[in-house]
Amino acid sequence: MRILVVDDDMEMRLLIRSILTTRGYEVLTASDGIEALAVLEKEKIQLVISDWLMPRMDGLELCKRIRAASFPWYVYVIILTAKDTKGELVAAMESGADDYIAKPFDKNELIVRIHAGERVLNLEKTLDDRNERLSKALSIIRKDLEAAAHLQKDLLPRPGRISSGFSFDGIFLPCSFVAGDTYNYIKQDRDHICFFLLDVSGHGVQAAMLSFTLTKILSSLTIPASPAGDSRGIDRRYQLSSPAKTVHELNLRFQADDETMQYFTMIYGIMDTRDGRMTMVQAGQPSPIHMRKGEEPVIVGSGGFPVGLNPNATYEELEIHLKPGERLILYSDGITDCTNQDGKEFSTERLVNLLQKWEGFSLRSTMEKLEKSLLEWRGSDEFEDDISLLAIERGLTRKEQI
Amino acid sequence: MMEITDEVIGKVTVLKMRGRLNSVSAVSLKDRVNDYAKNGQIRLVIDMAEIDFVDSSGLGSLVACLRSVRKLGGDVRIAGIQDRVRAVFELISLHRIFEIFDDAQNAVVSFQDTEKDAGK
Repeated sequence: MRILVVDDDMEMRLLIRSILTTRGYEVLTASDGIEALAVLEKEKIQLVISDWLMPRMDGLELCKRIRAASFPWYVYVIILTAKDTKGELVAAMESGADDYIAKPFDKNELIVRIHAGERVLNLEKTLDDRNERLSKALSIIRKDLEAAAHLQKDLLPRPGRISSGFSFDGIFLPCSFVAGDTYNYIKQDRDHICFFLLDVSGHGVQAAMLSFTLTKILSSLTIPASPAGDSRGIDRRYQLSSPAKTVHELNLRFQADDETMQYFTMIYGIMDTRDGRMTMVQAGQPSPIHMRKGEEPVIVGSGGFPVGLNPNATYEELEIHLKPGERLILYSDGITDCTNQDGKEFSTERLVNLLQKWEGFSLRSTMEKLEKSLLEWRGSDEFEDDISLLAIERGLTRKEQI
Repeated sequence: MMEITDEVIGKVTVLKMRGRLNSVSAVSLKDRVNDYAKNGQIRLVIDMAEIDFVDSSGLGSLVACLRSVRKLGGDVRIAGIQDRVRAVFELISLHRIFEIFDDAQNAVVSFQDTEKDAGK
């Protein structure tokens, strides 16, 4: 242990040095505060014994400078002085001293005070070590979460046109690295596209785990197109499991256990790309918005049991017809419940109004505008709930484009 | 933060909740209801007149309470929900599994009626 002894009296410096060196301490000396600071700048010293009254810079000023300097380690300061009243003790401690020894002092007292200082410094070191371990652990967890978030984003479909003039796009903003929300669309065969948007209760890692599983399951329900079947022109509509049946099976399979009560809400649908007819199940997910050509938007459906809350739930199908130039918007409640700084919600009305306002823009730029207006509404990129939206657009056919 | 206070009226326990029913308060609600159940208090009214926000975890906890209490032959009835919360209840069809009353008093009376019917 290295100790810096600061005193303008050379005899006192030598006396303390000899006491300390015989006990195995390495001692450096300085004759006033200014010299002491110069030493502290250069050397890693954690314990200082300083006289109070000194020319140029006294012990209290030295204390204050040490505290203000914010060294990367803690410097324990013992003030040594002939002053011995309560008021002076208070002044010394207030300037940032850790301890106080009255002159003339006893050799043993000096030693026990140093021991007390060492105990504090050891505790400090233990805490530092622990903090370092914690921040290392935290950075590992952070990296893992970032990797998981990346993986989850990769599972999302790329925006684009998939077939027969149908385009898909979306918005995805997890509130903490990974989300309980997800969406996808999968081409089932030549004429059918399955699509879904789901929101697992809660958020964060626990919700994301189920969301990952569901994406994998739902995205693998694809029936590979059989060339034989296609060439004979068989209508494959009835070879696909109906949305109601699919959601019913998910409900039996994913009943929430009493402990975690984890369930999810979803819209699951199948679209026939030949005529734009869509069959959907609304399992507790907010009602989709059907943006119609030249007519007022329609809020489709009024609700339904989430998946996993009620083993006896039955599911009904909703049907809509997406005409050329129309859009269907599926979204999670993270959007409409998103509050601004005044606690006001974004609301379904605002969402519908904006979608209506931007009807003339491309799907991509509508998504960009909407994402921007959500971030502006929130006033930050930290949301309380996951945000997701899936937009499906049926393009105008050649004949209709002028 | 959510506060829960309770009042026992005859054989019915009325829980009055105040604040936000979210993932944090969901846990304290479930713990509370488990304690009642252990105590034999399985006729519960949850007064939600002063709950202005319920999230998915909060809704899950209400269903968990209902499940555990119904297993013991009791029931959880909901009273006084605000329009906003009612809209969420309807969206996820909870109004089809919970009995919902305008206020706590009506919910308490409904238990007494159930008892009379059973006694007939």
